[in-house]
Amino acid sequence: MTERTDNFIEGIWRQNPVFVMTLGMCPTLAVTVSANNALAMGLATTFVLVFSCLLVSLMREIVPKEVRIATYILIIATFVTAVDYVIQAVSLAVYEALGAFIQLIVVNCIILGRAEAHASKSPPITAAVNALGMGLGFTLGLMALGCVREILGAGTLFGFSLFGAQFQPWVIMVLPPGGFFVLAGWLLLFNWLRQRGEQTASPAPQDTGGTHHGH
Amino acid sequence: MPPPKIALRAGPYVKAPRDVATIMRHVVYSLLPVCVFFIYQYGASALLLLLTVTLSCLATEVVLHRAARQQKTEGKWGEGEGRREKGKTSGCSNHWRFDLTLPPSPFSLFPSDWSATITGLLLALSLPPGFPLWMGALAGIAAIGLGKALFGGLGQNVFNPALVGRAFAQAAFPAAIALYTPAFLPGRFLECIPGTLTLPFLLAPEIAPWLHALHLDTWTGATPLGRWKFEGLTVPASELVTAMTLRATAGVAPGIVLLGGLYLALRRFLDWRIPVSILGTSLALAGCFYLYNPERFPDPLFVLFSGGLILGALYMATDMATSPLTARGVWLYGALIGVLTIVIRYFGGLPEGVMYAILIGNAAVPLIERVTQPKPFGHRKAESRGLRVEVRGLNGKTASGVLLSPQPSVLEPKPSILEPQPSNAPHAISSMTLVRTLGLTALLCGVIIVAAYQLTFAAAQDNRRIALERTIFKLLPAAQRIKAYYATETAIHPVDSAGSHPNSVKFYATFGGENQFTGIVVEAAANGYSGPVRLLYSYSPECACVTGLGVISLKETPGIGDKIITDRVFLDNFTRLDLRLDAALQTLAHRVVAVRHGSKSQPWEIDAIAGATVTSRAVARAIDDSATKLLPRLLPMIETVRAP
Repeated sequence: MTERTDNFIEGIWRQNPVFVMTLGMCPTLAVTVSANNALAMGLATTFVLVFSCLLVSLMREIVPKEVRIATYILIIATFVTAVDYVIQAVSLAVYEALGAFIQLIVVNCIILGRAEAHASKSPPITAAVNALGMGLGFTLGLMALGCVREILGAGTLFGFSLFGAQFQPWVIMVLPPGGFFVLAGWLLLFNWLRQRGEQTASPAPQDTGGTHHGH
Repeated sequence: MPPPKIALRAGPYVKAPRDVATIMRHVVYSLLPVCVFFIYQYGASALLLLLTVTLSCLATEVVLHRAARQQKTEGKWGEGEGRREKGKTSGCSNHWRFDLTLPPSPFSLFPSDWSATITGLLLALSLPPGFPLWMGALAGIAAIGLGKALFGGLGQNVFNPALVGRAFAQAAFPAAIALYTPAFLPGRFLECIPGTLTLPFLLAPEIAPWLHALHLDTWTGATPLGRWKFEGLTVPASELVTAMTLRATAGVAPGIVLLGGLYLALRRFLDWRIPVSILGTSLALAGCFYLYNPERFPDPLFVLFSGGLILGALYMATDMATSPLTARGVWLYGALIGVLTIVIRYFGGLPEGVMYAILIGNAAVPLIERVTQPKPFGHRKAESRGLRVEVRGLNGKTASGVLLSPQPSVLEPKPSILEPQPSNAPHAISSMTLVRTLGLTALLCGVIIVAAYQLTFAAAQDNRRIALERTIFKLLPAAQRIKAYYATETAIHPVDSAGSHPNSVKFYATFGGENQFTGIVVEAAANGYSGPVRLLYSYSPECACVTGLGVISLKETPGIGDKIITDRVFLDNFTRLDLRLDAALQTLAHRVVAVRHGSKSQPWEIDAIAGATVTSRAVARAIDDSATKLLPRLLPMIETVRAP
């Protein structure tokens, strides 16, 4: 795997913001009641992430470290405002459904985290590619929650009915507890997969108990 | 040297003849009469529900028990590879490995205590008898999986598993769990209640045709508590105890539950102080409310014997793993549950509060135990100069102690030993540079924001207009053209610019073909259960009434609050809702109010949706508020607005 592909894949799988780093839990739990909302939120965050990281990376030589946080927040807030306008122009229904969570992308720790940890130390293309991977990984995480919650909670996927009118929705899935349950289910699955992967990678397991992080 | 002939053993030397499994088995025995009477009341459906839920709990227990045991075995008795891991796994045996190959013998893995059976029986008894079996099975999985196994199994759980399962079912299927069917129906042993055999993942069928065939058309499915909450009717406690009359039936009969509990208390299998504390507190508190206002609050005995209070107090709150150990704590715990039950029943949105009261009580147990910890003999307070430290080990155990005469280094910062080193220190950046960087960034960001705003403004504006028009045309299908106005304290102005006008009411005059005036649509908003409810309602000056209701935005609970969009009976309120002004034309003749479901008697009242009273009230408040502000100003000028 070349370095560039790895840089891109990192956010999607190895360092997935939702399932591995468990960052940005507020939108992850709050707006994933339907696949549509999850997709919109994921794409909006990806947009902000890519452009903020690009700009931060371009300005990394001229911004003194004393004011870097102020600068990053300013840049992030700018793109969040822009994406807020864009969503209003694209679909009012999505805008109503996401509500305050669009503006709250400003305080999504993934974005400031990537700006600080990666973009401020990397050339623009690398930073943007890494941010794109992270954004897509976040979108993937939100979609994983959104699809399950919409299928169980409403019997639909992207608004299309899957089981006909006789389906009994599990109302809990579109309520906040449902978000926690589905997230827990996915985390269980991914941790189990990782354990399995580690076991097959090293036939004599050295660390079956203690050293797993993320539990 | 010969080996010693005396075997050395550690205590205890005398064991009580009862263990967990014995106690649990007796709890199951005491529940059997309750189950038999439940089946006698509701017939085949009750039997199937009890069996399904209990089997689902047992199956979940077996599967998860096996997954957990697998891990433990490796650490303790495993051969070969397992033995090598011994040192690593013994400290943290709650890392599960899901290895689901078949066990050597299914019976060797069956959990020998009866706790999952109790959970299943209690969960089934707390559900309505016609509850679809697949939902019951799902609730059983949630009870054992979420309520027990996730915390580490029997004795480790924080919440009563049966109530966790019921809370899951309540949140997942709020409509099905509130629907009780009449007891003692003639063919109940041969025929199921329609909901029971619903196929998995499908809606339960309507029970109205079934009730009609039984000549029970007046049955609403509400429990005595529900009828008290939403209709103000109570049932005498003497009927509730035995649940032998039709109007008093809702689940298990408290009388038989009391007998079962009495048996357990006499055999010392349950702590009698918990039910006494719960029932005593709720009785006393309900008595106070009753004395204060007998019109509004029901009599205390009705409170005691209705709903699940007796079952919850005797069998669920007394769960050994989830109730306090200290003597004073037990009383406190019971009192907390009693008070919460009354508060939720009287002032909450749901008619029944026992489930949440016990779950909250469970959550408070560690705190209660902490504050009621008895002092050891000779215990002294920690020295005031000492530093109290608490250490939490990896195994979850804590140790605490007092660090006497703390070292100065712990509390006071040491003076720095680093000498200032001007030669290597970076130069301070000049203020000008900082200001210039921030200024430049701000300028760049400003340009981006303005560009985005300019590019999207027209499209966003169009979207808003289309959404608004769609709602208006739905309310007044004859309308073709819309003219927007806003009414301030003093006058009415047409909306010409995009400026906002605080404290004004926005409304729209609509015109159909040939500029014929078709009606007025008014914006209204009020706070609902979980955020603002924004509405549009159409107003007809001819009848001085509301003729239709449309919702712009709503964040209410799906399945409950959002019924205001779909509920036919509720929407019928708005075909002729009276908005006449008083004689002086200064305010509404009658304020618009939401009244309890089924008690609407005046044209200005809104018949609230049962279970969604808060949202219904928000709609009433929104209309009342905007009509009070708008109509006294609009009516004198109605001709100008009507003119095209």
